[in-house]
Amino acid sequence: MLRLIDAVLNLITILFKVLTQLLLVTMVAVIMWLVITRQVLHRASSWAEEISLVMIIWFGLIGATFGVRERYHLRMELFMKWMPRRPRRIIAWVVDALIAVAGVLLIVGGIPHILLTMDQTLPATKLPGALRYIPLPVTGALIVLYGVRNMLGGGSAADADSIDSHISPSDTPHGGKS
Amino acid sequence: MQTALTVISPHQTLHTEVNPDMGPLVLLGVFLGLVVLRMPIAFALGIASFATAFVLDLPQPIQFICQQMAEGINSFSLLTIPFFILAGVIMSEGGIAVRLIDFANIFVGFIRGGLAMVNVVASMFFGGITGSSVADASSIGSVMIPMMEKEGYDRDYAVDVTITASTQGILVPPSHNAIIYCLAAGGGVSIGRVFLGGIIPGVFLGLMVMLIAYVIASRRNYPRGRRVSLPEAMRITREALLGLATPFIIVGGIISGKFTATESSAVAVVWALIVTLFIYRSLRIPDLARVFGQSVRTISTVMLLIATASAFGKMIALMDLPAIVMDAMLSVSQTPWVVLVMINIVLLFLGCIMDMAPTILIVTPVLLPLVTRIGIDPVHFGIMLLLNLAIGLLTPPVGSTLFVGCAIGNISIEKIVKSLLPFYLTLIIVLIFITYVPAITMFLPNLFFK
Repeated sequence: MLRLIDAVLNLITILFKVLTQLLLVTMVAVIMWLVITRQVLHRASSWAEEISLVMIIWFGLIGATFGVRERYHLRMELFMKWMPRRPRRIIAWVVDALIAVAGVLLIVGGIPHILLTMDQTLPATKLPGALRYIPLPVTGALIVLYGVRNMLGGGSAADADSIDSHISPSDTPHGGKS
Repeated sequence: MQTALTVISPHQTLHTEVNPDMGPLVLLGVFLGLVVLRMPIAFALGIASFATAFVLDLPQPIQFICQQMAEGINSFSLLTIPFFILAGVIMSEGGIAVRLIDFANIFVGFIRGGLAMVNVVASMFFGGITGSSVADASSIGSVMIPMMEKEGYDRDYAVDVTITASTQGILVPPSHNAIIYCLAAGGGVSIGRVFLGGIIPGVFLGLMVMLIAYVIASRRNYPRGRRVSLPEAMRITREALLGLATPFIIVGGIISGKFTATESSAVAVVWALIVTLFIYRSLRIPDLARVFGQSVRTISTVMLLIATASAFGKMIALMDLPAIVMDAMLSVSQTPWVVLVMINIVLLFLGCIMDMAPTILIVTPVLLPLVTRIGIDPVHFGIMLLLNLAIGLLTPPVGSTLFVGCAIGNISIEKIVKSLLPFYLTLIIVLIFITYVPAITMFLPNLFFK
């Protein structure tokens, strides 16, 4: 069962990773277009800024969900290091559950915004205004999926135990910190 | 899902039973509690905001917080952050570190402790390209630390110099942490001014690190580096300058007013791609998937922090916390220099226990009204804040650059912290100068922006 869930989640993750990478490249291209129209054609593109503002929300929120799955979001290891193994595992499980709750809140809080902005159109592109809020429930759903998966099959416990074996959550180059 | 939904109910009881004065307590208590329990900081910020919105009895609390999160990253100048990080990752994956090291060697290699000097100067250049202390320590360090050890330098010294020097990247523009500061300041602080403000403090920091590195090198009789022949120096310079053009495009573009920060950062990405794909030929098209993947990871970590921190910041503002903090601080003393001492101590402490981006996002809206009240320029305060937190990157218990340096040097944190003492002292001296001599920071911004 877990293997099936993982296979599905892996597929979803790959799809959304491709989406975020495409968004990143497209944002660069759109802003380059803005530069060209402003500097060379002397008539700044009207839609470039608007569309890049929509893309940044999609990119920023959805991109952050991979950090839930791969557990690379910044967190403080310090105090839990001193905690005995059993309570530490239980706390890790509760924290994972709370992360899933946060996902639920994003869905619950995001959908009304979509409904409210459904009929609006963005001035330059005429795209529906709701596009800006769709990422909220999508991100929430991904967080719920990843968060719940993290709790299953001893995932939280394994993560709790991992404190002892590594010095920093992201000790790789560009590990998200500065 | 079952568990997820049951945990939500405590909030609903809070909703009716707790009085609104509990707001600040809930906001900070939930946040700190969750952080201590090892919840990712970005999530702790978000959940604390949700809880506070319930306690304050705001209309439609969940929607309100979600709205704040989306608004928080819906800003045109925020686009610079992904682009800077992307340009930096392209450059460092494209082997810029080795070229900058060779380049630095031309200028300072022949001095006693030459490789240490090269390390510092290369770090300054590298910091200008990536703006990240961790990336700097890992890229420069993985080349320099083994090289220094082979030449007879002690390993702890090699790590000390690498990680201390890597903090320059936080100050030297373009630094994405400087942009996070500008965003956290609420748009009232110009990115161009903060960038210019970071130049002299960054270089000053580099020179001071070179000084202490030189003093230790002379005592321990470390070797001088090799001299480079003229034709070789020419080739190295040409290659390095191509890479170093990136920070100049960004800073030059912004200061000249030709580009906005966002536009110039996009140009920098394109330039970084041209240099690594076609001139250095150090990256091939298939490598780009890895580069983009790596960038998405770093960028989205920061973006989520900005999103939830802006909800958190909104709650801070709603409850008037900046005014409360201001009154508390000013009741201790109204003398600017005393207030600055207090601020520095608080920031150094926070820097020790927290990561950089979240601290900037949380602290800026609270402290900025206070410092402007006592007559400190927001640019000056920004650089002070960045330097304090940069020092925090080198201090346990939470010091990402320190950890990376120790991992690369394969040496224990305890050993490094002991050998770092003269370097910490140097950084504190730099901090004192930057805090009390505003001209170090303000000279360039005042020169270019009247």
